[in-house]
Amino acid sequence: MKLTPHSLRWRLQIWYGLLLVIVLCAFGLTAHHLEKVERLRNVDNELQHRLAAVVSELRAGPQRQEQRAVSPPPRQPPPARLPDPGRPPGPNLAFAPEVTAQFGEGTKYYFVVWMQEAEPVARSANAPADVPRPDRLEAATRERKGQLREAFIFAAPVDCVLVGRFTADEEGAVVLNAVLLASAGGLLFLLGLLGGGWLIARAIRPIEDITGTAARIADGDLTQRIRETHDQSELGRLSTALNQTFSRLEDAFAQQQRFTADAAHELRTPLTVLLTLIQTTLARARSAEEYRDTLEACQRSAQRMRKLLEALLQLARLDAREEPLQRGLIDVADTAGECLDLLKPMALEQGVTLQKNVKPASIHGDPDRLAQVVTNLLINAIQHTPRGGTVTLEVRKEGSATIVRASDTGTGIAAKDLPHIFERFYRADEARAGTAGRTGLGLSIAQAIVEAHGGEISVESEAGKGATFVVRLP
Amino acid sequence: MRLLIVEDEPDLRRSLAKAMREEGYAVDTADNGEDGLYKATSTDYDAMVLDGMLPRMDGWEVLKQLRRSKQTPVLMLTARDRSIDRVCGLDTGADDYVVKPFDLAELLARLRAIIRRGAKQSSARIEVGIVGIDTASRTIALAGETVALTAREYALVEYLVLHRGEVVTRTTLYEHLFDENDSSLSNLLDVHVSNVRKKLGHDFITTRRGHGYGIEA
Repeated sequence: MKLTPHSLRWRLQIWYGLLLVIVLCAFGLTAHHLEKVERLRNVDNELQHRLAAVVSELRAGPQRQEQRAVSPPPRQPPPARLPDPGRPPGPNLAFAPEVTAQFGEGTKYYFVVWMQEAEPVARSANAPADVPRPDRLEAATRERKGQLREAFIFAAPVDCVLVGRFTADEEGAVVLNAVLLASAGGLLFLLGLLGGGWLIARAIRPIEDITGTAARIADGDLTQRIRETHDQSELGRLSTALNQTFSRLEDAFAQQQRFTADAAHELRTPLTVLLTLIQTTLARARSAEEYRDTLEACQRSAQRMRKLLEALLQLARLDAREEPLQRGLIDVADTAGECLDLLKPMALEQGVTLQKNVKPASIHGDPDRLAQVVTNLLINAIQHTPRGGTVTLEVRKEGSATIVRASDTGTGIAAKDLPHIFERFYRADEARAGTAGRTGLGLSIAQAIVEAHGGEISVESEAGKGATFVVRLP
Repeated sequence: MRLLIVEDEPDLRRSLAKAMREEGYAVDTADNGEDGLYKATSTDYDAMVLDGMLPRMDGWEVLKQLRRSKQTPVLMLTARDRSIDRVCGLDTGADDYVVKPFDLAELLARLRAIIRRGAKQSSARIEVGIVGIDTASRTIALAGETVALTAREYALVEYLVLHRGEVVTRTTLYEHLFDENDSSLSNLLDVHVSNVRKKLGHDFITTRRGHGYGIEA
């Protein structure tokens, strides 16, 4: 499968790739950010804890100071001593061991305490040397030099207490995490791209199939069809619809070929007659009478060819549904009755009796075409009936359908011919084109017209016992 | 030469028959397969023109059944022009196959060819002593000079020449020179023989009393 710049596959891959990159990046950045925020929150929580601990130590009163100095618990309550009025209560700078344990070298936490003076009055051992005294206008926490996070408070009994944390190695961990995240993201992107590419190829392949098949059909092989997968997906439905189109194309072509072959074949005989007549007559000098006879015979042949051509063209147009039927409300009884009346002279000549048995039956149809059908059936009937026989025309309604029956007491149709009788040019043995000016297409045309009206035509007959043609129109 | 034309299309049949009679052949006709087969098996025709599509029995069937008993040269005439149809026709036993519509002159030439082949004669020109017969142009020359003969006279000479060396009975001659519509008057044959002798030399045709006529090889 080619990946040309214009190909759908290429474009799908690119867009998919871009989308994947964007999504992965967004996800990665969000994860990274959330992690960072969480870390910071944890650090700030810890700072606040320690800050509170320091402040409460600073506020622990003189009792605590004394408790530090006296070891054994007194048995007697110590004599009350009046506080030394000269010495105001200051901050307790002697912290409980558990508090001091929270600061110092191994803990990454430090504290600094200021009174009014610029120099701090107390600091943990690991506090950096140059912690700037916070301004009252600053926010309660701050970050310095990218690797120190400090929280402070302005509270009695001192001026300012600050607790800080070294975050340098934290930063390192964050960067490492970010790198891991990015690598994982990159790997996922590659996997996603490959997987996506494979899926796209799979989805696009049916399109290639369809294109290939269509190309082969365009080349000339109309029997090709797309392999159907019987799935209801869009491509499955497309394949089905296209196959149906190809079948219609094949049928249309076949019809056209058949028409051409039929026409060519059937024209051979009248053309042969024409040619032979003319060549024979021209072979030597002839009398005026002979020329006249020849010309009349030539005319007969030419007329035959004309009728044949018109019948074939009508069939072709009916096949292609090129000639829309005139639709009007007609009474079949009237139309059929007229056809019968027109054939009275012919019937008389053949010594055949005509019978009419019609009841009104209206349908929507093409009066001329239906007349053609009825006339064809009646002529057939008359010609196949020997002298003294009868041809009957019946029209009636049966439910919502209209039935037209043409029956005769003539020679009938042999069982072997019965299934073929409506085929083009099919002639049951005795009847032969030209002998009665018939084209062999009458019944085919009748069938086509009846079917164009949505109806059906059928025949019942036995050899020697006459025939009945039945037309059923909705 | 006597021909049978089996063709159901009346105008065509009549036309062909006329053309061939004018060429000097005796022509019988049939308009369906059964009659055609019957005539072909009961008479020795010199050639037969057989249409493919016939009522009652189609041409191919007629040919098949004919070949069981007769080697009559057959030219099939048909509207089927596919190669497979030609192969079928020729394999069934036809000597030639002509597709409609055809050129009349070509049909007649092919007929002459299969008749010649039927008589085992490969060329159109035959020399018998100083008499030269051209079956293509249907003319006879005596020492180079064309001799005027009637159609019947020519037909008689042609038949005897194509069967020279043999004795041809009178019956056979009747069968091959007259068609079914001619009333057979035995005199007619003698008159023709006599006329030919006058024009081509007395010894040209030999008589075998009680047997028939012939031309020396």
